[in-house]
Amino acid sequence: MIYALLGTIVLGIFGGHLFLDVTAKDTLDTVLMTALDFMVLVAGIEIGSNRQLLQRICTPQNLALALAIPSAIIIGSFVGGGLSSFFTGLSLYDSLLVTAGLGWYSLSSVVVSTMHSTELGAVSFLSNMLRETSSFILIPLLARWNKLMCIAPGGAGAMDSLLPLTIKATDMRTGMFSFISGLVLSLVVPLFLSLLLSWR
Amino acid sequence: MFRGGTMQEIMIAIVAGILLGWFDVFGYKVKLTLSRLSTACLFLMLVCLGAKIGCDADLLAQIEVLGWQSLLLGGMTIIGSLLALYPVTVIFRSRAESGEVQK
Repeated sequence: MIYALLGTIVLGIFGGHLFLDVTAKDTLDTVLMTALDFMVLVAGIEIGSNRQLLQRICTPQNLALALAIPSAIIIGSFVGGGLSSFFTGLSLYDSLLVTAGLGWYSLSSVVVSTMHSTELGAVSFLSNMLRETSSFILIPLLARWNKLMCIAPGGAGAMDSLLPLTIKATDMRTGMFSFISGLVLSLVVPLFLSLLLSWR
Repeated sequence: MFRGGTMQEIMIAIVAGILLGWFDVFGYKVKLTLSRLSTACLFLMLVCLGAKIGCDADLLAQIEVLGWQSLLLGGMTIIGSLLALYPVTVIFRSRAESGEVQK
């Protein structure tokens, strides 16, 4: 599965480089969104079909876990992103601004490039995109060791593009925590970006 | 996550899916077909994601210049997330094992 996922991404990069130009991006976006909507719909059907699981997940302990997961991901991301400033040559502020995207690269790159600098916008795009792309490889690997750990690498993408893969690699319970975590992270990304940009 | 202002679309899709699943609209065979189509869509999505990178010469040029910074930063955010989440999974697993959390 991992090799197939990795091979498909590489195939896409080479195919895009050899046969397409930048004008194809809009069409690719449309295909991406249609495929994603369909996958999320199917993931929703699988979640909804598990009524017992939905009822069982609504316990105080599970709700605490549902909030603890995104909180840990936020803290870990910012600590990791902050520490990376020692190695990348970027300032601590710039590193935290890029990290604040939490995997939502389309939003963070646009916000950072328009409100800070184009160069950092490119770093934000690449860094957050790499976070999501590498998650396609990491999730099947992490699932063998600890299912809940599959939620960590993707950040905000855990609720959509990575959700179907997470469910396939783990189980429905992990899929639900993944969705909730991605939703919470998606809600806080605009807040973190605004907050950091206001401190500039 | 490449959603360009499409958060609403995602939410509609997931809520519609949950409702369709909850009311058991589809039979087993349809669900199986949908699951297989979903896997096909995953690979289609990855090809498109790769193609989006490959078709953009400017982006490829930027990868050479800014790639290592992005790789390091992205990698460390992932490592940080994993290290921070691990104790949470251990704590909640031990609670689950002691019967506090229903699995």
